[in-house]
Amino acid sequence: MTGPAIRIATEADLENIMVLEHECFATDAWSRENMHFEIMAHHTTYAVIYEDDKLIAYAGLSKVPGSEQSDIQTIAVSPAARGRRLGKALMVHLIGEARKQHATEMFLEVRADNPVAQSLYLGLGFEHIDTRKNYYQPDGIDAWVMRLHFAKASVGREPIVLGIESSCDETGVGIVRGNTLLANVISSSMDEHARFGGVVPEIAARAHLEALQPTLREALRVANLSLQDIDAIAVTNGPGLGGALMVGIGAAKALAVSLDKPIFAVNHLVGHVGVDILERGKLETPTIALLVSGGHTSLLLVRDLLNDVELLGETIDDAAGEAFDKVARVLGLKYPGGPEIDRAAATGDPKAIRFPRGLTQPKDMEKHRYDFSFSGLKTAVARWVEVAEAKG
Amino acid sequence: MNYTLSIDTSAGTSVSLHHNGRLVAEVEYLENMKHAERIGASIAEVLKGAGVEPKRISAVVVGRGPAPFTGLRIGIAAGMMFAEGSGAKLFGVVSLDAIAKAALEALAAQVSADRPLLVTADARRSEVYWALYSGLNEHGVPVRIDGPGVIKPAALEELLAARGIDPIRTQLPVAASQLTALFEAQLADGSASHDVTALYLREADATVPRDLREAGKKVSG
Repeated sequence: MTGPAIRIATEADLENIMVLEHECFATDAWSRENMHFEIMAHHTTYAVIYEDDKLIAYAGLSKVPGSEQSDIQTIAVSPAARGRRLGKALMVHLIGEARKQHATEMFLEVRADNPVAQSLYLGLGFEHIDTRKNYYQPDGIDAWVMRLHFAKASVGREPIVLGIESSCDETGVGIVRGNTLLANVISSSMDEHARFGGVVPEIAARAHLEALQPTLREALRVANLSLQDIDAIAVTNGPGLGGALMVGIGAAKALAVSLDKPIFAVNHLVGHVGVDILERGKLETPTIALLVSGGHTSLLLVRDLLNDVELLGETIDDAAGEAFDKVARVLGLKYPGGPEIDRAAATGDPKAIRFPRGLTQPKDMEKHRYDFSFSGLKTAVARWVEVAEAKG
Repeated sequence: MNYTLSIDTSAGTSVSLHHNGRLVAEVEYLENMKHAERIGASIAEVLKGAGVEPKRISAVVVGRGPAPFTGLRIGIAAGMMFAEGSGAKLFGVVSLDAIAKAALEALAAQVSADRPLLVTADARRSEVYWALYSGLNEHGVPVRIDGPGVIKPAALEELLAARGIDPIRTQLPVAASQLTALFEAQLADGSASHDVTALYLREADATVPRDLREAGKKVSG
């Protein structure tokens, strides 16, 4: 079943709206002039539902730019169309609009003698916060003032997802609302690996267990949310270090069960590509992504981020960053090796030594068209150092 | 009305749910693998089996091992996060102590400081985890007189012989329901603990590479 088609009102809807306005509010209808002004104003959003070219419901939202408050100004459903949840559909739509416009709360007034509307709003998460005496004239009916805090409500807003990442030496907890990043807290065990010249899987896994609880709590604090606000859990299920991944997976599963929320497995590489959405809103597809880090050197063809990501090629031996670390070790530089080599190379002579580049032979183009290789380069550096040392 | 959820992954995957000390549901896989695959579904299964919502759990008890690495962490991580999400309090017990309690309840009369209970568990790499117990205290908490440690079986026998100890032995697998029994006794005793640190009893497998150890020497200018 699909919901009713809702669209934003234009000036052309004014006449139809006025007909319904008078039908629904016999004694206190707005004037045509007022309605015209409201529909056209920059700070309002009016939504309408038509059926067979006849307007059957409309509602108006007011949200002044810069303000965190929003107001439902009016809502009307044709008497003949009531009982079909059209009012709720309009409310959910306008709550979504208000959220998009960065409102954090919504207010409305409802007649004290309209329990049907009150229960609709209560069901959406509104609270009755005040009563205004004799607000509706000329009938002399009280108004309930109702308020909805968006962070606590579960309808009409973009989902809040908490992600747990533990594939290598960083324990990460991220929280997003739709495409908006709310928190990204990382605890790294990099220092513990430094004296070993690379990531030690068991040390990384132990560090994840210790970092889990504080990292989660910090992420919630930064996002100013509680776990009860979370709509879904996401977790990296690979690729990565097995023992490290399993800490995050066990944690995420238990968290999802405890909150009774869905859990989603995320491929770490696709997650890297997904970061682009947080930065630029929309990922243009198809796109090719190159991931380069201590653990990966991969080329991905992304036709659809959720359903269609193809691994075109990847390193057949060391990741680029791993090769940097190993070369740094051979040269007696610190871990992580990338920045150290970068620094040392800045003042070096690019033509001093001729090092090989992997997979550049014509025959490699057949079998490893989109692959990478760095171990030959690493070995060449090691041999060069050996020879240089032997010479003194 | 108190519900206690216990989780132990020091050997297999074992999850139990107790209501005021009475077992209402449990799931147990003896197989020493697939912990990450099973933990979530196992927790969900005991809750569903008992028709209990997560928020009604007041205590989560995890087995701290000792155990060899990977599996152990999964249960502790899951227990931690379940407590975060449900609002339950988080407790840890030594898994060997939980085995000891179950064994001592069956053998109490025969065990003493002179003839202690020896609990051992597979530590892989031709080693065992071990601990010695002289009996149960007045609240039913096992009194550990040595361990937990990790040792080669032959070395353990030498150690016992040298001390003139001929222990009563058990190597039963641990069950989550035994964690709860121990935890209840610890509550009565005042010794229940929020410490959920994993007991690996071995350093992480890592050696500083030779070229890194000698790095200072190698780079001279």
